[in-house]
Amino acid sequence: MPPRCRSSRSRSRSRPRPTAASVGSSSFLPPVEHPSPPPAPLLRFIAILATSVADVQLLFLALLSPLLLRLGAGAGAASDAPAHSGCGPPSPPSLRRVLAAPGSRPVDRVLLVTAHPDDETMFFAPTVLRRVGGCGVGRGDNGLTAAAPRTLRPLPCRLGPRSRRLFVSPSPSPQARARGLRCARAVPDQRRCSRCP
Amino acid sequence: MHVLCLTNGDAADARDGPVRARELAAAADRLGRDGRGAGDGAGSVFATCLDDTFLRDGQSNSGGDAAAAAAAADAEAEAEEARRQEARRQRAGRGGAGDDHPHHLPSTPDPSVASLPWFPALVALRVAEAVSATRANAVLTFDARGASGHPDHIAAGRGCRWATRRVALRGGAGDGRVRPGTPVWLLMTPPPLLPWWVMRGAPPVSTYFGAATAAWQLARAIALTASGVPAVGVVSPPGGATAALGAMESHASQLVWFRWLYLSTSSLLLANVLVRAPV
Repeated sequence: MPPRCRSSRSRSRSRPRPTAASVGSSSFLPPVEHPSPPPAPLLRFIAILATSVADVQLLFLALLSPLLLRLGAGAGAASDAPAHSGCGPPSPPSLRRVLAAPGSRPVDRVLLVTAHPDDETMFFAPTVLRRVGGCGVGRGDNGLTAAAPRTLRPLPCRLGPRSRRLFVSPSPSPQARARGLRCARAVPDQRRCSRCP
Repeated sequence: MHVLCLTNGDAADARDGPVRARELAAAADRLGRDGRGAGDGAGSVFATCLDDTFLRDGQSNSGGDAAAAAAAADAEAEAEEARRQEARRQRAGRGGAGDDHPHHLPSTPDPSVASLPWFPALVALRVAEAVSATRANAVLTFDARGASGHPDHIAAGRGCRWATRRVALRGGAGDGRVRPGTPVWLLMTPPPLLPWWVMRGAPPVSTYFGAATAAWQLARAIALTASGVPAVGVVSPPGGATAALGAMESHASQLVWFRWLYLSTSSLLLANVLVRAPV
């Protein structure tokens, strides 16, 4: 077992860092101080108008996408969906099933790796909005809520004492936190509960 | 879904890091609420923001020009040494100790470290740790062109591919919680349309063509699938562009005018095309 960093306590004294609680749920957060002024009202109005136009474009894409997905499924080598039974047109494969490794079960937990804190919105918004993560605990909670500070604990330092600082956002809502706490009570060792897929 | 952000975005100012980490948590919260019930997913969105000494925002920018990076590091080291000598002279003039404390370290980080590009093995290590902690069975990241061509995006994608190859070769890691052959899906960058010497690192022009580029990308996904390459097109749910704009308002420190232009016209807010990386 690799040695743990011994100087984490002194490090936290020398340089204040946000803890999981301070970075966590937005209900516990102090108001964020924005260094840049808010955009001009006219600019914001134009952006909202253009985004509404984008939503109209999205409507056309949504009408087009079933056809595209059916074509893709017909061409497809990417899915391990069960064989078509013969009644009606073949349905497009589930996103969970498509993203899974060949021969394995459908994806239930996805890790999105980005480089900057706004990349998940600017580049991956459709995927995040149609996300595939989810544990069976109460639908809407992937089980990491209460386990986040423990499962995402600071791991052993291998590159020096300053190489490890984790900021964790544990829970997005009180309801999800309550579900996660129930899951943690049911599964004290933070492993998968019986309802997890 | 869990979002692992490799930096806290403090390239401009070190004080921006905690602010942007909080903004990331708020944006993940917003995306989790807006996307509830969309598609076949129902989970919340969690966010983790790393603050690693060797993974800094903007650090990879100098990776393409090693000579310039070395020159900048040398200049910074000389300036730091000049500052220390000046401080020593001032202390000696006041009658204080003439020498620095042997354990004194400069407040600024080592410039030679700050000028290094991201090391793919370190990114791979961080990704493998996150996969182990979240028990994820799929990883999403950028492709080799990095969506906007940013060097940090390219380095993140390269590190993820390293991670899965190493894990695949080792047959699993993290006490068996990282499964061998964990698939990595790469976000396909829109076509550049213009040669690289015109773009000079700017995002692809086609990104700003909205639905036209999104439809073109979906057609490319079908062509790739027909040719045997695993690819999938993900179309945003109804109202997804407005939801993304709302989430981006959480990143208030980043909402400069050209970001509004991007959010208004981007094709990546309408559809993503994911291609599975070969293992």
